[in-house]
Amino acid sequence: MTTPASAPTRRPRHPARGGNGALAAFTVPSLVWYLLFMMGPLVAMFVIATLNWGSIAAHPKFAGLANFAKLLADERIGTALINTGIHLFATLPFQVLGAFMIGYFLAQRPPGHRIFRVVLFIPALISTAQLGTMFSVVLGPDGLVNGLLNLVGLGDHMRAWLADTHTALLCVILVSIWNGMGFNAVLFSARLASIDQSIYEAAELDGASHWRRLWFVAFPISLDFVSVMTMLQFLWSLFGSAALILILTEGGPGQATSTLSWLVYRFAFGVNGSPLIGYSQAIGILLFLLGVVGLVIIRRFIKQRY
Amino acid sequence: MRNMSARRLLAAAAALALASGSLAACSSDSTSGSGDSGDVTPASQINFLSGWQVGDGTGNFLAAAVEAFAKVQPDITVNVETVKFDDLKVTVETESVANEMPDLITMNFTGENKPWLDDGLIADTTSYLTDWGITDKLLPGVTDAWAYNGKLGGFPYQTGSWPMWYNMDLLKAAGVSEVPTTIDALKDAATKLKANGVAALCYPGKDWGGAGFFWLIDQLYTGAADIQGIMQNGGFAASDAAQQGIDLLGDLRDSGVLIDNAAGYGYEDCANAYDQSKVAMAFFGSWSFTQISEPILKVTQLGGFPLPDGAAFDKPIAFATGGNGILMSQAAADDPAKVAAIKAFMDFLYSKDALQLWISDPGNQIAAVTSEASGPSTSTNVMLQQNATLWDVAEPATLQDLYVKSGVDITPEITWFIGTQGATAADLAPRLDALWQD
Repeated sequence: MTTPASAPTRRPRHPARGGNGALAAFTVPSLVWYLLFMMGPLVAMFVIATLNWGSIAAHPKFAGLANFAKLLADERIGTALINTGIHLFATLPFQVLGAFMIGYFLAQRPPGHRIFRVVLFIPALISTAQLGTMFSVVLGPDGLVNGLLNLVGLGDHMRAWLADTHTALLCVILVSIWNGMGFNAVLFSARLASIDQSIYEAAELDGASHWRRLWFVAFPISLDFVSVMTMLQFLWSLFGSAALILILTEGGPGQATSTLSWLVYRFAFGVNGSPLIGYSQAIGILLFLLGVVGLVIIRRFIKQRY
Repeated sequence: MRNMSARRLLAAAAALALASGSLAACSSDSTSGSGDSGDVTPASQINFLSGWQVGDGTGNFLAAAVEAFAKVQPDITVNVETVKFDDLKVTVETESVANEMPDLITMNFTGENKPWLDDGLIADTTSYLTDWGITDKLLPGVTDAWAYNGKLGGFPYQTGSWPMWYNMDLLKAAGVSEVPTTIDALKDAATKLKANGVAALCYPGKDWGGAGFFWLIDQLYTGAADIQGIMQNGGFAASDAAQQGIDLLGDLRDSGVLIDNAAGYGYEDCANAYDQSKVAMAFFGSWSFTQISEPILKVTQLGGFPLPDGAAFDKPIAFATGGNGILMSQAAADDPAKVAAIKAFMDFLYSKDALQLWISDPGNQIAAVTSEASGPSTSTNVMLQQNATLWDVAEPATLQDLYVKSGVDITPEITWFIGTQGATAADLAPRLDALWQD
């Protein structure tokens, strides 16, 4: 038996590890900031949901799980869940797949593509307040849509689009799509422009049409980006619908456009006085859970497969 | 409208120029009572959160009043912070949380801020109104709009009405010579107006204006006591009279009395339609006296909403409204020095000349105070003159602001009802009752 001439007795400490510790110390302020201002509100949401709290100026009282019990028995929550689902499933395909198709078109750099990009991007430059005001006028009783219908002899079809149970939610959905689709298309075109042109050329040599190149070449290559965009769009639609609804319909007529996101606002700020902040946050937790579940599903089913 | 605004601006500027002089003159006697606060030295600052915008009658008045007050009480400075009227509630609550609660606030007293009395944000003004001699000056019934759980929520300063407006030119052109006082006459007028190419009645189904109109119509059969109970607790489904009122509104909707697509109209849309003579009848508050152009005001007749057969009233009905006043924070009330300073300022604001200046702009409506100088009949404004005799032709109805349970908003359901042809009381009543569940 021989003894190794230089048997290692102890693994040498990595010279950089001590340095990492020092570097990590510099991240402490950021972590503290993150915990305070990012995690803090999240924790607060769960705490406030257990309170009976009339307004920020009132004294909150502990209510246990009463807000959650009320939530389960409240018919308005069921209606809002359905409306939220309709809003999501109606907007997402347009905001993601429709935008992807337009993005592919832009990435081909057709004549005038620069103008198209500008035109498509313009809705993203309009604030939600402006957007709501604009479409309130367009869809109002004396608005552009009714004016056009009257002009072409379809006056019998004029209606209060935003105040009609049959059309109000559809209007909110269409305005959401109008607002987001072009912006997403420009983002998709930026991603698609980074794909090596030789891949498209090879596919074209193999006889692939634009349609096949779009869905069987560009789409699989960009699936990681599509996944991110789907997640973002899902969250924007789920959490952000309240602003548009506030300006366009205030959840009405009846409960026709009431979404969970709207109810969080409606109960947090109240109408005719009397906000229910704790109940609002209980709905917020439901919304939060839906968001988490949705993200997991999107991550599970939309991911790069090569 | 633009020319008119310019004229008003000039008038306001002239009024402002006069204001400093007149208010300073009046203040010599008005502040003499400030010594009633005993030996307490008044605080040097009053922080006043105002929703009265500079540029209109209310804001111009306040600016002139503060300037004049500074001349006679140089040791007390009134710091005015102006925010949008709609933002007052959030601003007050935010500032209270930050321990920066203003001493005085201009607001209506509604379900939005009534809980502030319970939460200790604002003071019960009952004793101040009495001790400072303001109660004796107030018009009868004015404090009703400021009462809540046996307390008073502020210093009433403005009162008004919410009546029906009739464009007599349009009505006469359609062959209707009198203001309709019955539902049958209203329907007849609507038929004639439509035949003449004019919409009859603008119903603001989209917003609070429609909710207010609903409460007016719904009490036609119930009378005051029953509707107060319903406003507080719900119960449409259990009240035949309330359902009769709903069905009357449905009948007006289905028979074309209301403007087409009324569910899409808001209060401001109706004001524009009325101002452009597109509609002959509407339900506007006295706060719109300055909103409608002068030629239309001159042909407008104020009145009540027509009565159906079997109504619980003797005359057409309209609302008497509370209007703006001044809320006092509890923090200020707890500080004797602040109270002394506020008393001096209130003596000033409730002086005869200050009130006369207040009502000189019709946008300020009518002072909540009886005095020789502040009587609306002395005004040259045609709408204020009409408003002064409104209750000769109309009967005051129960105003929902005083009774509807805090947090209940019927607007979305009213929008649904107005926008759904054929919907009846049987459909709407349970939907409304559900709103009182919270």
